[in-house]
Amino acid sequence: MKKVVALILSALMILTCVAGCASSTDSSTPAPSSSADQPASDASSEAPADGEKEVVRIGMSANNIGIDDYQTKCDELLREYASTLEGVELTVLDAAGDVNTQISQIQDFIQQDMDAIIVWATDSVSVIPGLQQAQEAGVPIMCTNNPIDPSGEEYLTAFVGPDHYQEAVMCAEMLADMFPDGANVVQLTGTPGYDVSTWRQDGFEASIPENITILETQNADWNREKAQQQMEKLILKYGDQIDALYAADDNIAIGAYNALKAANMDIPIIACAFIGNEEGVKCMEDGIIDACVLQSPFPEAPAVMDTAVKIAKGEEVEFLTRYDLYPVTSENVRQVITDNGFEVWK
Amino acid sequence: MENEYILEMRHITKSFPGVTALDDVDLKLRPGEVLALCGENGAGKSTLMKVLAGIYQPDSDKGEIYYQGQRRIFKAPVEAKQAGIIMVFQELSLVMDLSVAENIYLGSLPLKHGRIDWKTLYEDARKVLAEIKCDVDPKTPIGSLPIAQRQMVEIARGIALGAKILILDEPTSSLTDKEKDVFFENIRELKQKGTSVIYISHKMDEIMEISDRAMVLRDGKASGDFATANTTIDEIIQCMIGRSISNYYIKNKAQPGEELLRVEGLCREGQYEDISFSVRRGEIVGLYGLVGAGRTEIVESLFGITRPSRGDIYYKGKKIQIRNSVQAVRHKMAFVPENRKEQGLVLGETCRKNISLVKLPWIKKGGFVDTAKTFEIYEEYRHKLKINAASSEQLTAQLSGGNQQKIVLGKWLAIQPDLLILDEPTRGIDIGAKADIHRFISQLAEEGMAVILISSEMPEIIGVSNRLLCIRDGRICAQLSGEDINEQRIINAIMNQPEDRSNPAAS
Amino acid sequence: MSNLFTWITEKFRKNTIIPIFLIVFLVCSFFIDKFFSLGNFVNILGQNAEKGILAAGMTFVILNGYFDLSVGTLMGLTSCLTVGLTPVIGLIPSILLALCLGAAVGLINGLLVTKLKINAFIVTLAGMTIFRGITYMYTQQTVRGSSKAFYELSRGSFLGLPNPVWICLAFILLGQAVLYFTRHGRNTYAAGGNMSSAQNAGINVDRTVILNFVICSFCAAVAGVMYASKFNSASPTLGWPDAHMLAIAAVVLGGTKLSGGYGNMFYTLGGLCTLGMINNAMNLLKLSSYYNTLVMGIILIIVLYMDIVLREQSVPSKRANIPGAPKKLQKE
Repeated sequence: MKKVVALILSALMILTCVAGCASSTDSSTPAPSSSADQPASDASSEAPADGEKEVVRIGMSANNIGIDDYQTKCDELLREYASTLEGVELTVLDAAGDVNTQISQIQDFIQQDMDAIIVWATDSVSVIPGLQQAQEAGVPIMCTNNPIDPSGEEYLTAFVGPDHYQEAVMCAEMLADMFPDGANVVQLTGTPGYDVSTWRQDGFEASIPENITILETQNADWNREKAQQQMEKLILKYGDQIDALYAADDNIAIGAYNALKAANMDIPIIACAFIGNEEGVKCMEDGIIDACVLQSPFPEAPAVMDTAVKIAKGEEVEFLTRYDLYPVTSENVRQVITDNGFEVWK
Repeated sequence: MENEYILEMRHITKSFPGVTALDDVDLKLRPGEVLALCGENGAGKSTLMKVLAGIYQPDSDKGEIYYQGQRRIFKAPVEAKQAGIIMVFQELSLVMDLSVAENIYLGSLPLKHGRIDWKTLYEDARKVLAEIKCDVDPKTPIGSLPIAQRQMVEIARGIALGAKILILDEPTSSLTDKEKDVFFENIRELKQKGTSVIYISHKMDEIMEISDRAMVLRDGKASGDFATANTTIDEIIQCMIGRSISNYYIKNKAQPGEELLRVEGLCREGQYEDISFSVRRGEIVGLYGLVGAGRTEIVESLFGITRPSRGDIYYKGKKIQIRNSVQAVRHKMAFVPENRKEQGLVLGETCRKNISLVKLPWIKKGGFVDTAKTFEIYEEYRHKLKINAASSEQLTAQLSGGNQQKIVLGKWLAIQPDLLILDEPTRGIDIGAKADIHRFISQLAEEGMAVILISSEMPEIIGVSNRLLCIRDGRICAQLSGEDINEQRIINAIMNQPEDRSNPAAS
Repeated sequence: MSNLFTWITEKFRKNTIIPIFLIVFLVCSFFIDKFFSLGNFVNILGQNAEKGILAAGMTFVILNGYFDLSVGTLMGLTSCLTVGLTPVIGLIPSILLALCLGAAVGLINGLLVTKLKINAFIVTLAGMTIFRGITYMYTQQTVRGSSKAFYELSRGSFLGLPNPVWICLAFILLGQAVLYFTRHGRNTYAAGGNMSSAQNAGINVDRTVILNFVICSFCAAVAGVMYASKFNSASPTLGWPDAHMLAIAAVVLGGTKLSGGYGNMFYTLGGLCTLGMINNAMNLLKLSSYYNTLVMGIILIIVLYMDIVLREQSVPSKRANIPGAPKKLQKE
């Protein structure tokens, strides 16, 4: 008797888990009978459930939504924007930074007959097999933000994202403007192996003029605390030799600033990408960050969604859509943001 | 060269750091002979056998083993095993999740073309089991069998491996009388086939029944060698402990005082029902019954380990509810459990720490344990209970069974309980220690303690209890006292079943 | 008819993974749209093939009473080496090197645990971080694959199932054959069930343990090679932080006892498929991957609880009446 009770209990628990989870997402609860009675069917031959209006179903596999404000905000804006579009149903899955998970998600999207797939790649090379599978299954797939290795571009229908390399170039130019007579700088990068870090580093190193020397480069993992620790070490090592700091993003910049303040050093900090949130703007206005390139999530969402819808419907799109980047300084930061219709967000 | 003896161990000496376990011991064994090895715990019986089985090596130079006429050195159990010397361990050394057949042939599974030959394995196992009249399917996982049958499988293993000398260490400790008879039958058959048996046991009556010779060890030295037919139990015991015990059991002469504990209508589904009895100060109440009758379950409920579903407990005149053992201890109850190794001791800890364990909350000094007091407690009970340990810092794991039990007893006595519950306190303990414990319990009763004693040994419970409760299938089937506490009455009570057709003598 | 029913319930009781698998399968099929389709099932198998090999190797070590926490990062290391060394020494030599590395690591693990008596948890935990370090020393970025043929290997399929799935099945069947038909397999059960008994019976327990660690690490290396093929690249982050947990979970969910001595490959296969279905269900329900680990954890607890409840019924407790023994007093 005990075992029967145990079996029923566990079945109920699993059921409640599943049912409870199902009800909290966007999708409508499917009719149980149809899927159960259906014999094994081909992936591609399913007709849409509703007869009259065709819904465009788009699946997105995001890199790692919770890991930093930028990705979280992008996700939020994307979903908001999608909900304003008529006849578009967006499903977002979080790959939590794992390539395997991402490819599985792509496969599952294909299985679910999505009309288009958006991928924010966790790894620009390893995700290519997934892209290939999508293309072979006839599902248009596009990528955003994290660039894909050139060898995989043949499978992509579109790419929408900032040009990280260009951001770095802009920063190098701003740095050169600040120090026409040359300077010694230190560099703090993002997570090693993540292509955005690589682009922002390569673009900077390739574009600085001869009279600017990089004393040392350390990785700060997009993390404020780590940036502070690394900066402290650099200060210990080089002290007054450091004229400026190039940080891969504003988070890193803030962390490094704390270290500099503690050491009573006041040198210019250039942050490669700055996401335009309230904290960042304040930092700029307070002079913590002297110059950076604005990469706001606000233009991203519509750009991505619009492209996705277009490719879902089979329309022609430009392969590469870069949205604009704006170099900003302390004085004009708020101006630039509002001028372009973005918000300064929390 | 034909030798009358299949085995001769000469001048065996074995020492461990700090202690000489065996001192110049000789042992001779003939083929087809059953030799009983007796001695108090710590006398060296197990050690001697482990030397024979290749688990230990005798100290160098002296000490030789002649097996089948040849000088042999067994460096590892495998070597002894291959020679046909098989030891069946007291702590059953089986692998619970494997089948009976696999356990019998553990380490020597038959192969065919390089693969395990399951068919042959099961067939061979069936044959061996049939030989010892054990009716078990060789495919059953051994963990699902009762202890008695597991023991039979261990023996089957010895036979299957072609043992010429079978060493059995307390083999009947978990067998019922019926099973023991079958077991002895098997030993006799082994004798016929020429297999020798070395039989370590504390049970004198069994030794007299089955062995041809009895050899006694005392304090690591050979102390006596008897032909069983020509000797008496007392003679052997005298040889073991150097003194005679005419009365194992000393009944206490206490006058029972006021009622300390009264239990009414205690029930727990599936375990016991309608239990009502009382215990007075200065009284020893025995609980006798077969294994599984429910005695331990009853006292576990008294002590708060489990909770009865119905019934009342009155203690010192007041109705109380004991929800857990912590509360029981606060009420000054003590419980010496059945399994001292698993339930009574922290084996990896010292004697002193174990013995002061329950008393800890009362011996604090400024929030820390008063270490000096722990030494005091150890000394006090070492003296009172005659605990034989190298020092207070010796690990309890290294003590003999009797001394371990004394530590557990000391631990509980340290809190000066009013009610002492003992569950099989002398199981697996040598005679000397047994007598010590019995004497001490009687003394405690005389000093006014109330004692509940659970035992499955009829002589013990008859000898020690003032009153006796017979438990059968979770119910009290008789309450005896005074003259009525005798074997006949007890048997009648336990056997009294309405549907019992086979024994017309039952009332 | 009632005989059939009792036979089924007996099988369910002894092999708890069967009812678990069925419950998950039925629940998902009934309540989740698009779950019950051949394409989806093939997907699930394909997504779990590499994890299956990891779990297969882990089964050996768990049966022996230990576990290996370093398999995840070892997998990452071998994956990177395979891809990275291909242009240098060729594809086959790289693969062989990776596999040998796996076996060597297993040997070291085994020796440390048996000869130096270091706790397996510590040895393999250290291994986990060491391999990660070595991997990052070798490469900080994803290594690009250079062999088209190697990539195609994992994309090919046979009889409708992707090649990796067949490889996984082969490992599972081979593993089960070893467990059931070889001395080493039976020794593994004995050593895991009761090490001292096994030792006293003359079994070379040390050798058994070492061999099992070798098998486990070898399987991790194989999984790494297979991932290299699947992604046509290798990322140093592969296997970090918790690939080993999934392997252990699959083995334990299947019914193999964590303390060793009981279990088999089919249990692991069942556990693997069940976890794969749950994972898939999370995706189909559009749940965040974080819910995934939460739900898996809950299910694991439920399962282990059920295991205790059901196990208790089949092994009589010490106090129960001995079955078959007559109730009257044995003395005559």
